[in-house]
Amino acid sequence: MRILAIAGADFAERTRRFAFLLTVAAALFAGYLFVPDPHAGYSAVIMNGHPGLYSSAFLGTAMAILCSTFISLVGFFLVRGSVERDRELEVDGLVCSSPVRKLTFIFGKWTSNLGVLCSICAIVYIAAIGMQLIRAQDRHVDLIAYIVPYVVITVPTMALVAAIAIVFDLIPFLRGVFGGVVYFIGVWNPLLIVPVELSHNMTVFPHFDALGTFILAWNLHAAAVAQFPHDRSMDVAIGGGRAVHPDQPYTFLGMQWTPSLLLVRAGWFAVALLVVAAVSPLFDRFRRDASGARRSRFFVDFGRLVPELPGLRLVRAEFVLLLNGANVWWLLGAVGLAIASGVAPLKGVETFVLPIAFLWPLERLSSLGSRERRWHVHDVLASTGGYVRRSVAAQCVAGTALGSLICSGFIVRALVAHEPASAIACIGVAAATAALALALGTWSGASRLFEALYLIVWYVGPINGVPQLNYAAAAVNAPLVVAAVCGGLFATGYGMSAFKRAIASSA
Amino acid sequence: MNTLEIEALTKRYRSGVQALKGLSLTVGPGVLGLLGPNGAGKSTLMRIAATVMKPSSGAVRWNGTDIGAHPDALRTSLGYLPQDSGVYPNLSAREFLAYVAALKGMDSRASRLRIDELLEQLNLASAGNRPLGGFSGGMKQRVGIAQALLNDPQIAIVDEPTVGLDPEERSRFRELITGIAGDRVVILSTHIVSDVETIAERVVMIAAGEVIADGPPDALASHLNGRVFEGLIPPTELDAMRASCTVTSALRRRDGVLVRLCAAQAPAGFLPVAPSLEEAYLVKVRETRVA
Repeated sequence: MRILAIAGADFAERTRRFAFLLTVAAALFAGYLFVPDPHAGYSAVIMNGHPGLYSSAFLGTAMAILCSTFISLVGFFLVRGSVERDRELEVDGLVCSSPVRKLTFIFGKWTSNLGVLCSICAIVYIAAIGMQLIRAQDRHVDLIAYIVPYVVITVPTMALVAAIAIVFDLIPFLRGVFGGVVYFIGVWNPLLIVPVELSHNMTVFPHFDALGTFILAWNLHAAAVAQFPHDRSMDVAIGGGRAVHPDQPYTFLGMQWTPSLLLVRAGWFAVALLVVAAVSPLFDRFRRDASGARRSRFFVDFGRLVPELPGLRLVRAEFVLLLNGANVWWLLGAVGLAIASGVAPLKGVETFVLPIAFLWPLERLSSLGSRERRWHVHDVLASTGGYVRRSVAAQCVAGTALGSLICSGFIVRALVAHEPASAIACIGVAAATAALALALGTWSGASRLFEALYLIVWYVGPINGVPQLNYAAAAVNAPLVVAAVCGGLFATGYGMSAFKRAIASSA
Repeated sequence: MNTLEIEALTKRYRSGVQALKGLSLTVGPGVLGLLGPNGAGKSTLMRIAATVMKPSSGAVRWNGTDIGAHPDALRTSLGYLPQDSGVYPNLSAREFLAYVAALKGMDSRASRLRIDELLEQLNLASAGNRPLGGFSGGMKQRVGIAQALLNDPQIAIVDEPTVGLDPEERSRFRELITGIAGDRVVILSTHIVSDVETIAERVVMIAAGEVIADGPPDALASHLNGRVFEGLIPPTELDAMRASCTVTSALRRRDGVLVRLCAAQAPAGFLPVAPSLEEAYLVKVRETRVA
């Protein structure tokens, strides 16, 4: 009961925020996107070039796949930080001085994480039911066909994500942006890939399919092959692709929920519980042993390093604020990237140095737009003359300068090679990143939205080389396009930030 | 009888600041007022006593049990209002108090009754279902006071409880604390000497991490008997007076400045008056600084 009371308060606190309304809207929109018109030019789940017929059995299964694939990523960023938030809201003293046990409190937080994630998934499923009726390929709504995949696949997956979020909350060096990168590359990606690697061994792979995605995809694929036996390839597209045979959908009659499958999914739920129990001793109960901010041995006093800039005092101050808290290792990495981008072979710069250089300032930029509220200085700043105009401009310029400095080797190299467009494209990426960080931070009041979106775009584009989003390669090969797109993004981010601050200041 | 024993408590922060220097104190039932200048170590002492912080050395015992080793021995009986206490802005006062009640392990039916009672006593009943994010600073402070008293604590540790409260609410708070004291231990830290003067049976003054005075308010004030004087002077003489004596108050009036000061002998035109606790506090802190 105590766990539920703690979870209930935490859940209510989170779901009553404006940001959660945006999440609900995004979940509804995701439900809409996941069930496109058959002639929309794409399908969310395609098997051997065939989309599925929009029946309850297919959509229930497809939603389970899509929630496990995408909400396991975005949801992590949404729910992480629930323990740290108590410190920020200054209720930590109340928790610490109460007799609540670590295990009880942490299970309360996990339950709340799970509640938030399951609510978002439920909204996606509900949207899919609506879309089934709208698309009208099969008007018979079978609620059981939606509920069973939700309970068997989605809930255990979200339990695991909620537990991993708790782990990242309790381990200090995983709390920040670095933790987001670790989850994205070191946890989420392997969770998706491992079952694919093991899929040749049918006796093993269901047990390692923590997200439950491939068990479902395997069944959908079997249904497609049964109806179109001429193509027995293993061509599975999840998340959006062009169906080769859009007018030949396969009919999926439903999953075979075998006892062993149910047992495996229950096992993953149990793993989530065990993970939470195992890490709960790491919770420090918000005990305070430090006096204010503590400077580490590797602290760099950027206030002394950055020179005075006549006429640009506010930009300099914002620049120092951006760097404030970064340690010497971060600085050495930034200097190393600046040098490498200037001297490394161009192919290596395009595929390796620039992608890392574009990610490097993420941790610094993610505080843009939200730190004023976080540190309770908004009212003080908003009472200064020309706050909206000056602060937005100074923060965008400071963020652009930071990103550009990390790529400065490449910029100098481009200018020396008489390729100013490449230099402008690189500065444009830095400017667009800074403006979007500011806009998303200002609108959401937190840094996570920017972190999550940027990581996804960075992973899909520069790392996986999807041409439309590979801005690192395009900065070298198609600089004018990058410069134009980034100019548009910068203007959008700048405008959104200024508009939001103007509303907040006049409210 | 409930007793909190604080024995040779020291606290050195990692930054090198020594907040407490071997402070010892035994606190029995009743209201103990803790007075001290900023940075004296009051909040550090309160945090350690509330099990929120560990001391560098020394011990705190609640009814004989070392709370360093067994913090729950105190936590189950504790009501704590930290100096920088926050709330969940999207919960109502009632929901937030129910959450704290769950943390404290209270029975849900009993906690509901207690929440209603406290909201009534703290003049928050009509606002109990509104989100806390819309509350004024004083209202949030009253919610903080309510959470501290939720479990009918045997020991209440309240740090700057009257910050942000208007005079009427301060008076209401004083009545509440006086009402609950009885055989309970109440430790109240504040800068507002009049709050302590009216409700505390015992006052402990601390400065630079050490106890500099300890006793009932009237006894502490009586140390200055015959050394506090009052007189009216022209405004131009005020600076000279400040340089030669410890001026404890200066009230500007149409006919001059009414000055209260502490001195070995009455300046010309000044008459002896009964010393207040505030004067005893100011003189003591200044003496400590000089020493």
